Formats: sequence, structure tokens, C-alpha cells
Amino acid sequence: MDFIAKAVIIGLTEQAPLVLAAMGMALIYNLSKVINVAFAETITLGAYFAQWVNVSFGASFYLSLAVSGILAGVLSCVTYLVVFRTADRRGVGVVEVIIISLGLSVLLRYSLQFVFGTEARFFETPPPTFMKLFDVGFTSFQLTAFILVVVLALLIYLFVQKTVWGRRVRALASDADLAKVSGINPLLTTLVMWFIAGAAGGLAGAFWGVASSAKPGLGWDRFLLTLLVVLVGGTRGLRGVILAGMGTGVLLSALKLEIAPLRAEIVLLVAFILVLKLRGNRFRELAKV
Amino acid sequence: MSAVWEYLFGSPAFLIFGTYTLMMIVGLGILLHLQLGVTGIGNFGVAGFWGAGLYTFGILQVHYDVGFWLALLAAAAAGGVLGLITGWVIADLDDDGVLAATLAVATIVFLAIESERDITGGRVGLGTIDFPFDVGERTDLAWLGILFGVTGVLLWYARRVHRSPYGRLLIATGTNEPLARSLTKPAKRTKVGVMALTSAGMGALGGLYGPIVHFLFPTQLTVAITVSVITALVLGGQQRPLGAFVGAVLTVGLFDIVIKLYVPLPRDVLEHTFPVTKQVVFGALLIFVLLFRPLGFLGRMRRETHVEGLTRV
Amino acid sequence: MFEASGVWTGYDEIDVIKGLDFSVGEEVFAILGANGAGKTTLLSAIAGLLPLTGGEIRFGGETISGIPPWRIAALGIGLVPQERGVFPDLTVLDNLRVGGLVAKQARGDRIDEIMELFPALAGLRNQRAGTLSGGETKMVAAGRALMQDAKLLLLDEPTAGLSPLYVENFFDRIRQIHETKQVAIIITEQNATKALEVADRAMVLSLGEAMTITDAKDLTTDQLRKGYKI
Repeated sequence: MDFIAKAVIIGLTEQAPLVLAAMGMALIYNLSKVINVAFAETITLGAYFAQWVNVSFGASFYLSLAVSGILAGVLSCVTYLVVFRTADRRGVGVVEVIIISLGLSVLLRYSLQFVFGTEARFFETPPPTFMKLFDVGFTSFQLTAFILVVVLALLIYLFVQKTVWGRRVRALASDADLAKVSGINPLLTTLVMWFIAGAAGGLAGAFWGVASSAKPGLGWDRFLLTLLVVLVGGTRGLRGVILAGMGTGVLLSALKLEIAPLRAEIVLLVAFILVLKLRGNRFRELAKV
Repeated sequence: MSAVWEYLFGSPAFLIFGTYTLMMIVGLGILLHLQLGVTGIGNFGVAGFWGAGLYTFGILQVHYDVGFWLALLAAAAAGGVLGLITGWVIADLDDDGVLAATLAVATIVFLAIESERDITGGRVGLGTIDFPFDVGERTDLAWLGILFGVTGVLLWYARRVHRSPYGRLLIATGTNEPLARSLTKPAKRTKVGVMALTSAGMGALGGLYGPIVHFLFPTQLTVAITVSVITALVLGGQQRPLGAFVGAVLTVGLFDIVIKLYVPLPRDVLEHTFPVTKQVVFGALLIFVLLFRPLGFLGRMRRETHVEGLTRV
Repeated sequence: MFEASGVWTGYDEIDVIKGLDFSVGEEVFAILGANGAGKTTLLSAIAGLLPLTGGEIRFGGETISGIPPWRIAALGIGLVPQERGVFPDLTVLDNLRVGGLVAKQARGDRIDEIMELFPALAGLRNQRAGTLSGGETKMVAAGRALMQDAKLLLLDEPTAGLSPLYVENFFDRIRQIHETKQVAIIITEQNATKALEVADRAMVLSLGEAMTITDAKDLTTDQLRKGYKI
């Protein structure tokens, strides 16, 4: 019981941003039908934007979070307009779009080093209060971050499921031509979704960044896990992504409590690969929103 | 004249090392051409298969004093077994699943090397790995010659594949797998087979890299290698066996040989700005080439152009 | 209400519709023809999914050729495609709500009207449209288009693949929709007999050209045969 409690608390507090990141990636995947490798850099830039606002303007972390989400959302829209929309119009194939997104990821990751440098950048936040639950220590900040992530994830879910714009997005993802003749403007709808997806990624990056630091490889280091959560959890829509994200966090913590961290990651990746294999080629029905 | 010679070849060690890198990328690119350009398998874990061979070779040589040829064979086997398993996993997956699986395999290799420090040395490194022979001062040049030979063999093999029934099967699988299957072609087995064979080649190339660097570090296995290989292949033309060579000359050749050796850059630019700029250029190339000239520099295979001409008539 | 003048359209460099002229008033207008005649292509072009390579389409006095399909939908043209007429991942209710995105009338009222028109859908509100039977799917598709407050409905072979009972029901509904909602309807069909029963006027299309345009009751077997090249 103690072990489970530890795994759950650590997993949820440390990996909560994974849920946000996976939701953002799933939204893009569902709508545009491509895995956007450059989403990793949206996460990274979210961390940098938040750190920059926090340190350069003395803003609180929560204000920095809001600004970071907006900037990351805008960046996401720009990458869609400049790269992915162009690829779509030119009829570029799936593998080629993945490679293009890899190129965009590399371009962004190294370009930002000219702006932010290569050293880790730290946030300036007030010292946290330390708490304990079931003998597991965590900070007030981690708790707040977890609650915020839950609220944001819920808001994104409700937006997609219950609002008019969410219906537009789901319709466009389901059948683009039918959506057009039903009165849905595809460009506007797509931009709204890429903005929300980018904001979710940027916010995840900000949460990860404040827990460690903003650095060039922040998003890339978490990209694979985020991708696997989307591919595995996405068959059950956004709810599945949320559950898969939380489950992954808890599982990883549980593994790390028992074995060395690097080996725990290996075991997790092997487990994901096995799930991919068992699921087979039923992925095309996935990422229902 | 001697001044020109001195300028061009005055730093033979750096030139040779740059050319090693170039030929390594060419070799990996030819193998990736068979995977991606021919069979349609988007392998984003090239560094992993190459790294598995590199470290298998290194571990056997350093810890177990295994002879060169046996160690090289083991390196190929390591890459091949990993490729077989990966091929089995991805046989049923669509392109997104293949991305995830191949990336996961490469990450697992990297994590395993970092975590099993007792045998891999971890971040401290693993060495020393020497050349299996000694011809004096220019042993490294002889090794480069061997690398040229190996790459030549790979190119010859790739061109032969294109002209063979096996090659047509790979192309059919890559172009339209459901159709190939409906025509009773063993598409899944083909994908598994080509992954195993080409990954064995990648592992062998990894093994051949060990004596070049003498000391192995996990940082040699980063995604930058995969990006370099993919960029070279895409730029040169992923559907052409020579595509990797042309692309590698235009990218790695330009950056790691021409600019690095012959353009007088300040030291801090060379050490910091230059490698970052290189990656920015590679990223941009991937985007622009695939958007505006998806078949790369060399374009389509000559025989396809010829058939198109007939069709037009 | 609707006018097509010298319309040319097609795919890539292939012309499918060649210089078509016809007009539709407040009526049910049937477009008949064999496979490959260009019926679906024509409706896609009217809905804005295909660009015209020549000619003009006017609706309600406004030129609509060249404007995006979502604006054409907002002007009052609703398309029910032959296949993929519903959003399979959305529930029946969400499908209807999507249709209502461009409507001026309150969505709630319209949904009630659709449920009255297609009572079979009442119990299927929360079911995913992709799990419905063929007939139920067609009802949802028509309901979605009606939710748009359409003044002109384009029905592309609405009874294709349906059982005879559904076919009968559906054609009754078409007439009912036209009369109660004051909606003009262009319907393409291969089932000429049933289509002519509900239509006011008909056009026989063959290889992208109009062979005959006449009142439905006056269309002769010979004229049909010429169009179907029997």
C-alpha cells in the first residue's frame, strides 16, 4: 500500500505535465493526421518563454505561465502556416511530413541556442513549503502544479467536447470535406486547434522547466514518452490520453522505486513497444478527440 | 604548388577523420536508402543500430580481447538481431508507429549504454580500441581505404538490389503494401528481412568506427547522427542508391571537411557556433528539400524516367 | 433560385462536366444518368468542393462559383454526399449540431423538427454515427444538411445501397421536406423510376452533357435510354 501510494504521489506530481503535453500532441495528430516532431520544441520554448518572463520582468511564475502558453500557441500556429499547411497543399506524404517535422525540430532546437544559449536557465520562484503524504515528500509548488495541470487538462477536454469550437474541430478531424460543406472554415478551425495544442505543450514545458531548468533538450528528452502516450492512449480519445499519461507517470515512478532510473525507463519503453506490437495497425482509427 | 598541397593536406589527421565521418554517413545512408527510399520504412533510430554495433565491437575488444573479425561479426549480428526484432515490431504498424518504435529502440540502446556502466564505461567512456593492423604512420589512411571499399560494396549491393526480383519486391512493399499482400507477396516478412539485413550493415559500420575514434562515449550515439544520415539521403535523393553519397558530400563534406578544415574561422566560432549552425542548416534543408524538391538532387531513378517517357508516347 | 451557365469542371486535366446549362426553381429537380455521367462531380462543384474551369453558378441572385464551400453553406446550400454524409466519430446529436453551425434559427428548435421528420433518430441521439445502419446514416446526413437552414438541398444518390423499404420511406421524406420546409431539392439518382415519382423536373446527364431537361412526367423512355446509352 505504501509502495502504491508513493508511486501514485510521485508519479502524478512529477509527470503531470506529461498529460498536458500528450493532449496537445494528440490534438494536432487528430486534426492534421501527422506526428509533429517539432512539438518537442514547442515544449522547450514554453519553458524558455516562461523563464524569460519570470526572470526578465520579475513576473510571478503563474503570470509567466499564462504568457508562455500564449507565446507557445502563437509559435505553434506559425509553424502550421509556414510548414505544415504548405506540406499539405503540396501533397507531401506521411513519412515525408514526419521527416519535415524532424527537420523543423532540429532547426528550432539549435536556432534557439543563438537566442538563449546552451546553459540551463533557472526560474526565480519563492522557496516552496515542503509537505508529506504517506511518507512521501513533495513541495507546495509541485502540488499547485499538479492541480493546475488537472484543471487545464479538464478545460481542454471540456472545450473540445462541449463547445461549438470543439465541435468544429472534431467535425473537421472526422471529415474535412463534409465539414467544409457544413459551414466550417478549415483554416480558422485548424489555427484555433494548433493554438490550443501549442499552448498545452508550452505550459507543459513551463511546468517541467520550473521543476528543473529551461534547457535546449528539455522537450526532445520528453518527446518519445509523449508520443508513446498519444499512440497508446489516443485510441480512447482525449480521455484515453489523460489516463495513459497519468498511468505512465505512476508506472515510471513505481519502476524507479524498485530499479535504477535508467533501467526503469528502458523497461517502460519496452512495455510501450510491446503494446504497440499487440495493437498492430489499428492506429489509423486512433486519436479520436 | 607545394604551398597549395600543404594547405590542402597539411593536416592529414583532421582530413582523414573528416573523410571517415563522410564515408560513415554515406554507408549508413545507402542502408537507409534501402529501408526508407525503397521499402518505405521510416527508420528514425539509425543511431541506435549503428551504436549497438559500435559498442558490441568495443566491449568485445576491450573487455574480452576478442579478435577483430569476430568482434566485427558480432557487431553486425548485434545490429542484425536488433533490426530483426524491430522489423517484427514495425511490420504491422503505420508510419507513426514506425517512428515511435524505431526511436524507442535507439533510445533503449542509448539508455542501456549509459546504465550498464560496468561493461560500457558509461559517460566515462570505453577504450582503447586500436586498428587491427599497423602499417606505420598512415594506418589511419589505410583504414580509410577499407572504409571506401566497404562503402563501395554497399553501393554495388544497393544497385544490384534495384535490378533484382528482390528489389522489385521491396519497391512493391514500399509503394503499396496492401496491394503487394493481395498479390500474395510476403510483405511483412520482407520488411522484417530488410530491417534485419540493413541493420546488420549499420552494426558493422558501427564496428568499423571503433578503431577510428579509439574511445567510445554515449554522446557519439545522439540523434544528430540520424539527422545527418536522413539529411544526406533526402538532399541527394532517397530513391537513388547514389543519393546518400551526393547528399553526404553536399552536407557532411561541406561542413566537416571544407568549412571546418579550410575556412579560417575563429576558435570559439569553430567550437560553438559552427556545430549549431550546421544543425540549423540540416534542419532547414530537410524542410525545404522535402517541400519543394522531394526527390532530392538526383531525382527519380533513370529507369522510371524512361518508362514515363514511353507512357507519354 | 439557382442557375448554372456554361459550367465546366473536372479533376486534374480531365473535364467531367462540359458546358452545362440548367436552372432550378422552388422545386424538386432530378438529375439522372449512368455511372460516370458526372452527377457527383456536378454536385461537388455546386457545393464549392470542386473549382469550375469555365462558366458560372448563381444562387439567390449571387454568383457562388469561386467562393469557399463554407460560405456557400452559409448562403443556404446543403450537400448530402453519397458516401461519407455523416461525421462517423461524432454522435447523432453532434452531427445535427454541426449542421446547425450556420443556421439562423435556434438549434434546439431545429433539432426537434428533425426528430419529428425522422422519428427513428430519437432513440439514437447519443450513438456514434459511424455505428448506424445505412438507412439511419442517410437520415442523419439529411438531417445535418437540413439543420443548416438550407434553401437548396443537394442529395447525391441518397438511396444508394438502401433496402427497398428505406428507399420508399426516403422518397416520401424528400417530398415532405420540399413541401413543409419550402426547400428546393436537386437529387441525383440512378433509380430513375423512384426519382421521377417525386421530382417536378428532370435532367438526363450523359458524359458531362445534358441530353434532356424536361418536366418529370414528360420524360420518355427513349430520352432516358439515350442518356444511359442503352
